[in-house]
Amino acid sequence: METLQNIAQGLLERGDVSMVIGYTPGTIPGKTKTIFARTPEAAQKLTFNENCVNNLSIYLTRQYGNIGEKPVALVVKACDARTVNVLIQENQLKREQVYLIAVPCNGVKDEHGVEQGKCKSCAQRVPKDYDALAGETPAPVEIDPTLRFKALEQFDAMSPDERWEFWMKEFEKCVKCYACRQACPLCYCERCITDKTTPRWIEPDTSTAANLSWHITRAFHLAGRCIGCGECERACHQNIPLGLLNRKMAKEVFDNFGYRAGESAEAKPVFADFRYDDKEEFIR
Amino acid sequence: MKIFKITGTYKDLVETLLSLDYKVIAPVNRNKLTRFDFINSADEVLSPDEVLNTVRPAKEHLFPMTETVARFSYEGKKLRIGDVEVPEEKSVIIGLRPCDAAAFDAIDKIFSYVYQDKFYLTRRNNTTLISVACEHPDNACFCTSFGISPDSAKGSDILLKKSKDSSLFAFISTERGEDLARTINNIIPEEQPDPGRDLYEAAEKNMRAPLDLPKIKEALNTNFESEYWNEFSRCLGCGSCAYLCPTCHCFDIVDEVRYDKGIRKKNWDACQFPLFTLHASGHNPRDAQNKRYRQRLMHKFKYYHDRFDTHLCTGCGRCIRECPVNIDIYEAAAELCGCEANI
Amino acid sequence: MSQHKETIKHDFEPNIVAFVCNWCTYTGADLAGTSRLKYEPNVRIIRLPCTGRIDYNLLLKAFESGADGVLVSGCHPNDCHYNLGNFHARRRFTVFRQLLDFVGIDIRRIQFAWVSAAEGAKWAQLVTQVTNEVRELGPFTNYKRISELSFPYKELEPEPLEEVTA
Repeated sequence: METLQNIAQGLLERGDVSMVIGYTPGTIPGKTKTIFARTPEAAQKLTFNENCVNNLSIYLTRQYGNIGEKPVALVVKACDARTVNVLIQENQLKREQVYLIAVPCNGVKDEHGVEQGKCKSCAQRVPKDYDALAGETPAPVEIDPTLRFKALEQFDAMSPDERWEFWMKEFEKCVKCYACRQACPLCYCERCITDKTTPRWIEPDTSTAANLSWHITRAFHLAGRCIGCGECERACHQNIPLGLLNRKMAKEVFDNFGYRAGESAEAKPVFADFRYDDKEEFIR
Repeated sequence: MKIFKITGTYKDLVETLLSLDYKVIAPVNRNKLTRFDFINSADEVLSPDEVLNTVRPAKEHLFPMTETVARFSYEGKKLRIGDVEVPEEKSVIIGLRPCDAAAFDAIDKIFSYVYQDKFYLTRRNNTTLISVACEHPDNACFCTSFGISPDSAKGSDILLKKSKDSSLFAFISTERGEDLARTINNIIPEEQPDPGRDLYEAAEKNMRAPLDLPKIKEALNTNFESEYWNEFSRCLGCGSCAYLCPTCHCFDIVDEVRYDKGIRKKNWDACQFPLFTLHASGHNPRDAQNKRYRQRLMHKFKYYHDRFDTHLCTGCGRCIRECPVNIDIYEAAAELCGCEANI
Repeated sequence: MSQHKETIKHDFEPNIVAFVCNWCTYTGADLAGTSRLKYEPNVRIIRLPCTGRIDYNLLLKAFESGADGVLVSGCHPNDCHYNLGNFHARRRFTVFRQLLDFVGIDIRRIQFAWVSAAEGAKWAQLVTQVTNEVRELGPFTNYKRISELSFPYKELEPEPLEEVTA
């Protein structure tokens, strides 16, 4: 069995990759921070534990400028690897530009010890596709796949007005810090629609109406793309349940088109595709 | 500084405040978010034992996230412009921590510098700050670095402190505080000797060791182009740190027009956004995230100090607690000048 | 022999914004006009090249600007002037509707239709139906309320204004 550090050290010694992006202990117990290991010595600082919540695939997007001529090695959990798949699907990078070091994951917790919502319904212990595995392949687990959308059930019983009340109370809290956007590995647009001013689609103030427009936009731009890594919800210090919006979109995309984001790097993105016989009972 | 004894509990004090002609703002937990908000009853107020520091600081009540500053309308080719008045409403903020109170002291300087910001200053002059000393600072607190402490009265009109035997005392340092105290019957108008700071001395020991600020400033003076900043290319560029900071005060001005009417709005902004410095030409002087993080540190520990002789940080620890990638301003400042970060 | 039907007075006249494609529905609406078909006057038509161009932001802006209902219409499947625009739009709106429903917007306020250039009568009937349905639902107070709060102009009105010649 190879350890994470050994794999990283070997890659850097042989010069196979320009750097290894991984986790290292943070400044507060239960927090981890990102490390860009460029030397074999630095690789010894790499770590993986149940607090490694961050989805490091965000550092593969173009704005960080980490992808050069040589591939970059990335420490990935199963969910992070799904994000990499979406990035490949959307031509943001090529598979050969990234070396995936998979880490077996039994669920991750934030610094308060709270298990992330995504982990409760996740049965995938290792990614489907990776280049090296740090550790042993864990025994497969069985988890009811419907758990994924369990949190949405409470909304089925609500009337539209009740749902409206619920969300207005949540959106009222938003401070427009855009942490949800910035923490999202799939929000890689060079200029976000909310920053565009001619015309201005989404007002930049923090009124509830402007916040509603922003959150609808964020959720819809991620529809069929979001793999549910939950970084937006974790980054939101105002505790807005952003994950619910994303999960609702994932459910609709799955129910209507049988598509699940990030399953394969070869699949055509759901909104770049269509079928002649897609359902249309809502159209008059 | 006048020291008075308080009868009854903290909650009794809040109840008395509610009966006065003030709008009362206190820490509450509304919809899974701890913040300062207007209250109607003392029952909804989080006691100082329940919350160390709210997620959102109280600055939004003096410097709102979004504020209308002007209005205008078009009539053919004529543009008519109108002012917006700030209502003179007396309010009191209770339950601040000394770091948050000291933060108002710091941002007063910029809002009354060359331009007198009437929006901030009117509210500031009508607001009385009652802070509560901290008995249990956490592992992100580092206020002692900035000449304040868990029981510092800096910036507060009234500071509430406990003696060793848990009696509550009011330390009144301003006229505004005295005016308010006179109307509160829970405060016995009889000066007391200093009850000592045993509780707070103990609290101070658990905090991060004070930063060497002159050394940090020296390092900032000489390391503008240093490779050290590359470390912060991991910053995601979200505005969490700035939006939760009690001293960050940058804002953006936008006009919102509907048909022939418009309003000019002032919205919070953050130096971590690429758009913050983007020129109309397309050039961006801070074109990478590490440069933006450098700006954050420079502003907090150097530029503001150069101009106002005050640091733009009070060690409340919010940015450390809430950063999604664990960028720790204390560690960043300490390691810059080659000091060990004693966390 | 002309028959004058008495106009019914309603307590509430909804504002409905219709986003239509240039090639089918707009032409269909034109046909309704040239055929002298009568339909409810509550609809404001906005012509766009294709349903594939109808960005959801347009629909949101309509609500934000005070629309009580929104209608989206374009070519029938396989009739798209650009071959595939309406197929893509169909997928997007399937999901977008559900998002609106999820945040509590009554999705009876946002309707979709296929109306071809030959279906002037269908257009007239559709608009009348949608108008009646939205009228039944009443004004969209939920959205109007938050939209007005975000634009606090009226409150400032009584004060004198300074004049500047632009």
